[in-house]
Amino acid sequence: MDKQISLDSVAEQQEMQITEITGSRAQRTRMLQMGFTPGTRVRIVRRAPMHDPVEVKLRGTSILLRRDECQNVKVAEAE
Amino acid sequence: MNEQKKPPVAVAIIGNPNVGKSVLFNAITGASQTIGNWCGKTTDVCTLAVHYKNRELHFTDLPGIYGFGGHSPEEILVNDFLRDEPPDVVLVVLDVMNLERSLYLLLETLERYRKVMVVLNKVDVAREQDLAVYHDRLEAELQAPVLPEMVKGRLNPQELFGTVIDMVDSVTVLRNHAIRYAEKIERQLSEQKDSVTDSSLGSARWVLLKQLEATDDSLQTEIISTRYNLAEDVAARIMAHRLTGETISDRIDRWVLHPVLGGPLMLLAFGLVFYLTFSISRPASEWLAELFDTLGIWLETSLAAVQFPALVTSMLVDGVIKGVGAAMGFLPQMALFFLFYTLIQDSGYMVRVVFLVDRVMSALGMNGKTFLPLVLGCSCNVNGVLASRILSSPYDRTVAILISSYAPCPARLGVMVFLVSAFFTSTAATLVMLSLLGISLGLMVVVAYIVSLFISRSGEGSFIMELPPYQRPTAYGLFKSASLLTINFMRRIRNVIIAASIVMWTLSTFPLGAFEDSYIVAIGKVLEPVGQIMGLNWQLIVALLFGIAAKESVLSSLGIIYHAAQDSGNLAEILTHSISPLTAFTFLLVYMIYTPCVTTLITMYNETRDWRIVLYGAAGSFISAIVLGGIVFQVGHRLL
Repeated sequence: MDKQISLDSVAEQQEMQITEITGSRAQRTRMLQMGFTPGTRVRIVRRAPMHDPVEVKLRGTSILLRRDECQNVKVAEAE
Repeated sequence: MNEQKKPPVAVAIIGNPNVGKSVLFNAITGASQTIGNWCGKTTDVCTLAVHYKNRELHFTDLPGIYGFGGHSPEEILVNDFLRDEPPDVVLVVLDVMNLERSLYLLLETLERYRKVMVVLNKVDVAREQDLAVYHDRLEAELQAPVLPEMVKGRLNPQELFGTVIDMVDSVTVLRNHAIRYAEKIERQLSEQKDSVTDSSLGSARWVLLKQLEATDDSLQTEIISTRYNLAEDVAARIMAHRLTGETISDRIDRWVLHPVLGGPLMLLAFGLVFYLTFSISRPASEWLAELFDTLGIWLETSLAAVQFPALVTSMLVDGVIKGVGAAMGFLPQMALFFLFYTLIQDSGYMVRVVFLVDRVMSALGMNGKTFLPLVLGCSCNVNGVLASRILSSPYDRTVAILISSYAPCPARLGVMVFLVSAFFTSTAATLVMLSLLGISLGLMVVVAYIVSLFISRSGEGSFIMELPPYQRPTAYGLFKSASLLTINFMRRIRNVIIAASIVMWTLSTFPLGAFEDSYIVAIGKVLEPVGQIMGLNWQLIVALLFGIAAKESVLSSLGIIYHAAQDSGNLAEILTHSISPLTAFTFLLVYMIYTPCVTTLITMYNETRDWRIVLYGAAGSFISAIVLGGIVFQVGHRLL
């Protein structure tokens, strides 16, 4: 398995694969229920002015995350 | 006929946020058999009752969720509702354009409940994009009735009601849909099988799954992943996926969310909304004001003709009709505002605005979503307080509600522009206006900071949300929700306005005789020592007291107190001779912040159901008005 990094440090438009969700229980539950499950493909579409928040594509839809939430999404190179 | 009355059928409508539940709700409302609707006293949960073939069906529209057992305020609300008022049938609304996420919720619902039916939403959107939806496969796969064809909200309600009744009366025993989990999970489930039984809360298996999720992070990930994998499979089978490439929405967003142009475009859009709101509503407001004037005169003369007691007539005409008339003057802009609000919300633009401003707002201690109540608070503080509903965390919501009452509303701006131009010349006047507005912005940041000392900012205040594609709202839906919002608003403030008008009338009429001897003047004189700190005499204090009822009435009461004739040029002249520019500036500063109007305060209570928020809000603005006013006057007094 590739080394995992946080989604926040990935360049725009680069497709990655989720490995793990960290963070508080409430936030983890929400993200998992929204479909941030391990193995799912994700890519950053754009960053807002001043690089926060971030728009990501996941399961064919767009999701907005703050940078600190993005840091809790661990990803690796997509297979 | 001696037909036994069957009990009402409770149907809970659930779905992801933005799934179009309100469209469905509107379609049901559009059915002619509607017999009533009511909303929870403490929550935003609304229920609609309809008649269908001698049965009563109660549809409850629940807030959008992604799964059961989440920690956001909406999810807690849904959980509590389902626990306290177990539904007979659960109606899950699916968005075919967001199928996997929708199916995840449906799968968990099927694990939990037996009587589940499905409405497929946005089938028309899928068709437009040449995506085929095989809803019959979904029905076969999950063994739950599926109603497709929510084309522009025109679902056939009769068909829906019929399906609900069939399901409730069905004698066949429905079984929960069971998902096969990994061996270690299944083992634990069977070990604990006897500790729980099926109940109105849900199936025993679902309850056990929830317990496992709650105790172990890795099991939670495993359970949710398994459900999602199944959702992916089902989604692939019922919809031939061809959604690649750029959609229209993506193309619009390249401009709307542009790193440089996005901000200016947004300001332009809001500018247009304000311009349209005020320019269209003004003639209507003037017409309404005239109507109430005429009504007052007519009532006065007709009551005098029948020897009606003059005092009661005065109360009705000078108190009630005047007060209600003033409030009704705001009705056109309120209705227009609600129309734009619905448009911004339903088109999907609101989420984009939040994306653009969140970074700046969070630097000021606020959520990006607070921007909307703030901007809308400038059209009327009441609107700002109402718009604070979009915020879910207690911290963000409290901040939004409190700071929208500092937003410079048109009523305030009108009075401020009048007095500033009376006392200051062009450049000075502009600087005075800008410094006043700057001070109110600074106060908002201070308020956010103070709230953060009492309510934790961390925890549930998560930001994560979907960015839905743009939608073209239907004219019908737009007018429907805008008029509903307007009517509900008027219904809520009606009693308060009448009461406040009578109180102000009483205080300024009694004891009978000259206005100078009335109670309100007496109160003003009692408060004069406090006013002196800020250099305010009793005349100005009385004007401020009237401003509590309605901010714009400060001008007319200054007119009465200073015996100015009706035309405003006269009042400006008298004022410049009676008070110094420093006093005028201090007065404006105090006026701007000392309190929002009664209607705003009442709306704050209605939205929070917590008098403490209203009390702290009002006390906070009074104290900051006295402190700031005092500093400005005392410093200015010594320097000038």
